[in-house]
Amino acid sequence: MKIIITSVCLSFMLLCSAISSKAATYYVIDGVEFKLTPATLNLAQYNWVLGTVAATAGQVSASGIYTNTINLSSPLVAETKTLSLSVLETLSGCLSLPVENTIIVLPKTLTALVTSANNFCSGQPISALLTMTTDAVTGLPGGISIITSWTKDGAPFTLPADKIVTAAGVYVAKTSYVLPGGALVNPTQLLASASQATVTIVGGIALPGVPALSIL
Amino acid sequence: MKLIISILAIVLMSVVFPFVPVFSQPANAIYATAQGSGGGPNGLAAGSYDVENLSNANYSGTSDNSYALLTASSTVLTYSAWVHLTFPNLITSSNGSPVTIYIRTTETASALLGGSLVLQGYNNTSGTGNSATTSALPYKTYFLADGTIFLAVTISSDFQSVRATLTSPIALGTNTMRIYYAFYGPSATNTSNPYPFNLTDCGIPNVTTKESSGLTLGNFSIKDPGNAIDTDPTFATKSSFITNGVSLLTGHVKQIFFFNGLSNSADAIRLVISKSGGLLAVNLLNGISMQAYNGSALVGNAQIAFNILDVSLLVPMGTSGTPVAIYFAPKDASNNSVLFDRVEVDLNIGVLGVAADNNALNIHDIRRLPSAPAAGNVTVCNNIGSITLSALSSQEGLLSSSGLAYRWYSSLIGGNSLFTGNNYNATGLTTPGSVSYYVNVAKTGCALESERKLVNVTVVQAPITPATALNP
Repeated sequence: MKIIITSVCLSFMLLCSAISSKAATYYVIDGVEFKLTPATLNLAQYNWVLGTVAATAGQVSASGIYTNTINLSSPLVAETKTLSLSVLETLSGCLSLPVENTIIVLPKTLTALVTSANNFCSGQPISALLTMTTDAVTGLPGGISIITSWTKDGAPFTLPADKIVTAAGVYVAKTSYVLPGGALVNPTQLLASASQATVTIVGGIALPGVPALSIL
Repeated sequence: MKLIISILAIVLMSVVFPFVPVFSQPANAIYATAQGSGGGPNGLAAGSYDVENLSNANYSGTSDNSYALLTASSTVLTYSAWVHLTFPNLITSSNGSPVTIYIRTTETASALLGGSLVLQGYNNTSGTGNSATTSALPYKTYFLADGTIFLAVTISSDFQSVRATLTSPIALGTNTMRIYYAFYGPSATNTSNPYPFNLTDCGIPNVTTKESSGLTLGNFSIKDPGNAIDTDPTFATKSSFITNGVSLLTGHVKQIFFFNGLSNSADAIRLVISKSGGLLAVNLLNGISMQAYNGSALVGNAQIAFNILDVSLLVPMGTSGTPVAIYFAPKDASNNSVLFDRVEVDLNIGVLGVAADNNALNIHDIRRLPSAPAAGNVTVCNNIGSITLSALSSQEGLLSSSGLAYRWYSSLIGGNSLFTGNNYNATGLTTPGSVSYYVNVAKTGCALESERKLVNVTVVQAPITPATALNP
């Protein structure tokens, strides 16, 4: 009886471990190369399959690292792809159960920032309307959003509701993705996805001297 | 131990196959249709003779159990009684193509109290005039499952009738003999087997004979030979090899079983035997050999029972009265299957020597079946956990129209079939190691299955896909 129970448990554990290999979601950026590195390298064979297309020899290193650059069909439409991996420990041996990783390809954001006026003369109050625009990205899976963060002279800054700034400085609007909590984030990829725009508001510009007049 | 024996016994006894009507004679047999009788003294003998119910010596259907009764009694010298059985037409026969006549009775020569039985052929209907045979013909005794007997005589010239003459003992004795009918097989396989080929039969022997030979001291024979072919599914009945004595250098007791003509290619024999007495099973099995024949010609190599018995059956074989099955596939020196119409089971008393024991060997059943199908061992990954096992019988082509049934099991003996079909999808193979399956084959319509073929499935631990990490 004990043997039977042990065998059943062992089978269940093996089955579970086979099925529960960590399937992950990775966020990559349109047109930016990325690599996926297996935790165990240098096995006999790695079978990477993107969707239904097996990786080419050039996409898989001898040690098993997968390298690819995915270009979106439409630059502003995110795409979700499946990248599965299975391995052979020895040639002609058993193939592991494929683990399907999700690859979400995010468009690069494109941010523009314009101001109603850049330069203000000395004694003139500064009042500039900052208008920031970002290309609309579609196809984002649930839980992903785009935020804009502002800095003024390198320090965090909150743009007033009327979007009018009254002080001189370097204003930077930066848009980036916010990923679902717990999702795997790669800083480099995220960095590549971000875009920013800068405007400089200059105030206190000295008034030009009034030239002396003389009657000749 | 007891468990194994019990399982074996249950398994063997629970093989579900019905009693099959025994074929007394070929379906297309041609019977003698006219009868005559007579008798009288031999020389100056005093006595009497009688032939009762002469008209009963005529075949009247499959349930015909009526007979004419010959009685020959003497007080001085010998008296004879005879019946004369006439066929509808002259039967063409020659040295090159002889014909064998079979007369159904219940008595053997050894049952006669002295005296004799003489069989003689005639080329006319009356038994007068020239006989087709110039002297008494040697006859052979065939035993049937129902206890009756065929006396067979082979005639090598044209004939139309045959006469059976029973002679009394010399003085103060009476011999009796039943005569049911006489026939011959127009499609006989050969002169000693009247039964024609039957592609789809279930391999039940029709008749059996027994022989003994060699220098022996004691009683060596076979008791109840017909019981070995009575298809009793419980194996309660048996023929018993009487080995009461010792051999002097050599000695054999043999039982021969006759089937429906030649076998199909790749047929095998299933022999169910048990031992009695104190002989070691190993010794007994080493004294049993099996040999196939085509007519009187040896075909294929003989096999010693010990060499072909599955080793797991040695223990139950060691218990008296426990039937075990031995499978014998007649093959030649090149390991090719041979065609055969009979099989001889030979108990070599010379091997047993002084250890010979009374009723040493029992034969409970014997059948001709397809050989075990071919099926290869396979390997499966534990993460797949299932694989299709395939089996193929060498007789697939032969029996494609009537069909073969493949059955899969998880044990060599007994158990319920897991699946019927030549492709079995084995599942649950998730634990690394080895799993054994067994497959056999049976002709459609025949309950008895071939030997089981072992199929080993090696379950291999599959690797686990490693986790991955995203790099820039």
